[in-house]
Amino acid sequence: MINITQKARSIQQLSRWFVALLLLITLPHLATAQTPEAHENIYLNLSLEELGQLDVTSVTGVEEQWFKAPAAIYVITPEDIQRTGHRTLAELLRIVPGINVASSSSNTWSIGARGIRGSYGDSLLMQIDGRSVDDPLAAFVHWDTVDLILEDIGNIEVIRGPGATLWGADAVSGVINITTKPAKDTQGWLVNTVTGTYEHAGLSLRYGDKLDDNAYFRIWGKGSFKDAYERADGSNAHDDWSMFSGGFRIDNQAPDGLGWSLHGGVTHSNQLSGTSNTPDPLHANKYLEMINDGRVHNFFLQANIDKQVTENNKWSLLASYDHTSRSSINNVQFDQNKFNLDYRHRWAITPEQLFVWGAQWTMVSDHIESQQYVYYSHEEETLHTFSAFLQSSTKLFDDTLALVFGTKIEHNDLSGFQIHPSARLTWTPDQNNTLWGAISRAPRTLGRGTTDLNLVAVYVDLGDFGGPPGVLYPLPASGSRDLEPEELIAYEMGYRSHLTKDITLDTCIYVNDYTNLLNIDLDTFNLINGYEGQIIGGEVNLIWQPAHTFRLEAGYSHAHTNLNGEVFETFDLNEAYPDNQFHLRTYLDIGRDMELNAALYYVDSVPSYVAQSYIRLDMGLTWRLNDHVQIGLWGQNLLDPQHNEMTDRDINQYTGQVPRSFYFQVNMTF
Amino acid sequence: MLMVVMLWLILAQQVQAQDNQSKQIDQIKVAYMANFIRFTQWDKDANVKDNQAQPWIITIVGDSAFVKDVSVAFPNGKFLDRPIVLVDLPALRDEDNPIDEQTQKKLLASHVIYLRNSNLRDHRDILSLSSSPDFLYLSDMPGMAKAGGMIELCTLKTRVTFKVNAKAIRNAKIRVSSKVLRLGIPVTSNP
Repeated sequence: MINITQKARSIQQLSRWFVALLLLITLPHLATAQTPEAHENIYLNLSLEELGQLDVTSVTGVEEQWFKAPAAIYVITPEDIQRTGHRTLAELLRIVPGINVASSSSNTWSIGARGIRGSYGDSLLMQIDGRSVDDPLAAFVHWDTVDLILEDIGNIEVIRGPGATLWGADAVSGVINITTKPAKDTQGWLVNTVTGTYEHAGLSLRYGDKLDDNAYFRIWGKGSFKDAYERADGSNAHDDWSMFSGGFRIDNQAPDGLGWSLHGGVTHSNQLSGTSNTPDPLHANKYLEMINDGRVHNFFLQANIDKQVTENNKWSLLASYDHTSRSSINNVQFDQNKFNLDYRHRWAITPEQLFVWGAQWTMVSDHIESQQYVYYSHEEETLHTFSAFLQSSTKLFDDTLALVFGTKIEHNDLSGFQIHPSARLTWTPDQNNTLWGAISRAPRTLGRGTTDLNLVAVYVDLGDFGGPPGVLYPLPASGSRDLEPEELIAYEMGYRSHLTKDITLDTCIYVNDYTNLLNIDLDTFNLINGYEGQIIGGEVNLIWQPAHTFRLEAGYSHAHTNLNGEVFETFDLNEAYPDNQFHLRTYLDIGRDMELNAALYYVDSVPSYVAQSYIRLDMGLTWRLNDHVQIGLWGQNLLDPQHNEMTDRDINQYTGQVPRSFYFQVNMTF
Repeated sequence: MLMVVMLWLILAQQVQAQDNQSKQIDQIKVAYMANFIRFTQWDKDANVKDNQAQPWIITIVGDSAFVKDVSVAFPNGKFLDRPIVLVDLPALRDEDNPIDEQTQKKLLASHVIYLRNSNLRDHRDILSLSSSPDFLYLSDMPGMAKAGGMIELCTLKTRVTFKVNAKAIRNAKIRVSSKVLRLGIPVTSNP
């Protein structure tokens, strides 16, 4: 057992070193900081990618320069998407410092941030063009049903840390905002084909055209067949899957400033297979392997309207409908309908004073079928969430200081009223330095999958204790609607600097105070708010671009988890997230048409999920044959035949491992 | 009276805000231009424009005010260790006369020609200078890339971005990095 006190002390020491280092880097720059001249072009040293990203919608809810944003923001650009070789949104998040991606099967990912995650990455909110894709039943993202043509993504903003003031109760550990390209930017044909050792076959088709002078559209379809992972002993984990999706987007931008867009999509998977491992009643520590086919069907329709009333006054309205039908590998079956309305208004009453306010309504109606050993207190339920927020941004002292504060008030049928306040301060003494700090509170609303869940019985394997190898033990354990929302109060401080013309530094340290975290009462086996404690950590990202043909990026993150509560011997929340992560990425242009890309990732061990530390190397070579055709050859996880990233201790031997893989890709546009 | 003063203040702020924003957009366009220069190789064989000892020659056609914006962006008059010479051509020619020899020489000697607040006639004149030009031709006039220009800077919603006519670039003697081609919005010339 690790001595927590010693570890905490060493972390405190590490934090002091980190702050000292931060000050050491900061002070010389701040000391030499000068007020920019009135007409000085502060954008001159920015790269093409940075210029294209000058206005990001961040925790302030308005478009602003990433460099000055008062939050830990990382932007994944279209170039990153193309040059990292990842083929799914979940895998793409590996490049973000402070985010941990663990693949627990061929079709399942767990994604966490800043030292905490659930089985499927809960407490992170993900939105696509403003529409939340979190499953409200359990408040997490089903990564196997979120699919887009990656070439159609404009950018992905990942905000680490709470964003609840603007985005609501699911944005506790972070927010992932995916913005797809306007239809105007995706005109003509795109054909993308892939074949490889893991993704056996993949095809994406997209066509975009003009409807009239103001209106454009695109339609797209995508299909992929992915192989099963292998287990440690080389046997097949039976988690191969295929997915088909399609969608459309229509944009209309009228000259009077009124714009609207209509999006729709369908995702279907009928081979979402996997194994259900049930203890073998005849043998100790053995499990019966049952192969199931799952089925997921999702459909959505979304409309966005925005109006630029004046230069300083803009409103937007989003309305969406989602239907999901899921039958998982554990035979859990549910149908769900979600309606959402979201209104936002941005009004700058002076160039220095900006207000953003808005109101939202969400209705979720679902039907969950009870199972033999699991049932829900209410098989059918309709729940409403209402919320409103107001946020003020004030620029002071010639725009060198910016104060952002606001709050959201939310009422959820399960959690009652909740308040999500935050205050952020940014100091930008010159165009090369930004120092920011933030304090925010973010309660996490519990999903019905937690509060209404009831267990009737569980299999218990007492073989190790001289008892029967596997018995069905009556266990009336349950969640409860009296459970309090998990709560986070986060303290953050960050510093960004263009250290030289070629080097940009982005750092952040944080202290997250958690209360009311859920765990299982060891006496009653019911869910209780039984955990609390702190997670302390930091993230550093360094970008070096000495020439336009070469870019190197290095990122490091540390998270020390010190949560207290009664824990099972085999599962400790303090050991459920890697303490240290590191990545190194390079983009190299060879001549005019070839690109060599490489990425090295190090992830520390995660004892609670039986994952050893691993180093992963991805490399890819792409070659532009002409203006229309590009081919690419990629190798992923090259240093390792396979490794485990996440599994339950009991079924470790049955879990598939992330394999070494290769794929060949052809991309055509015309 | 108080109302009048308040209205005046609000109007003044609106005008000031709009002025600030168009200045900001122009600064971003200058920054894009600097990036495009960084990503372009001029004809090595001629050893003129590629020569490090020679200054960058940037010609602005149609907007003298923009020349100032470019000028203040490089306060020491240098970029990538080479001096910058800015050429201001408010118009290429009188309506009835052909483009004169001196103006043609100025244009052909340029590393970058930036067409702004001008007209289609000037655009055609620039295109007719050479079938294989050794200058980078930029414009922020709508439709210029589609009409045969190389790179068109444009504003889409709240962002300044650019369109690329890959064919026009490939026809030129200059070599523009594939990165520019990849990051820009591709357009093809009108037939």
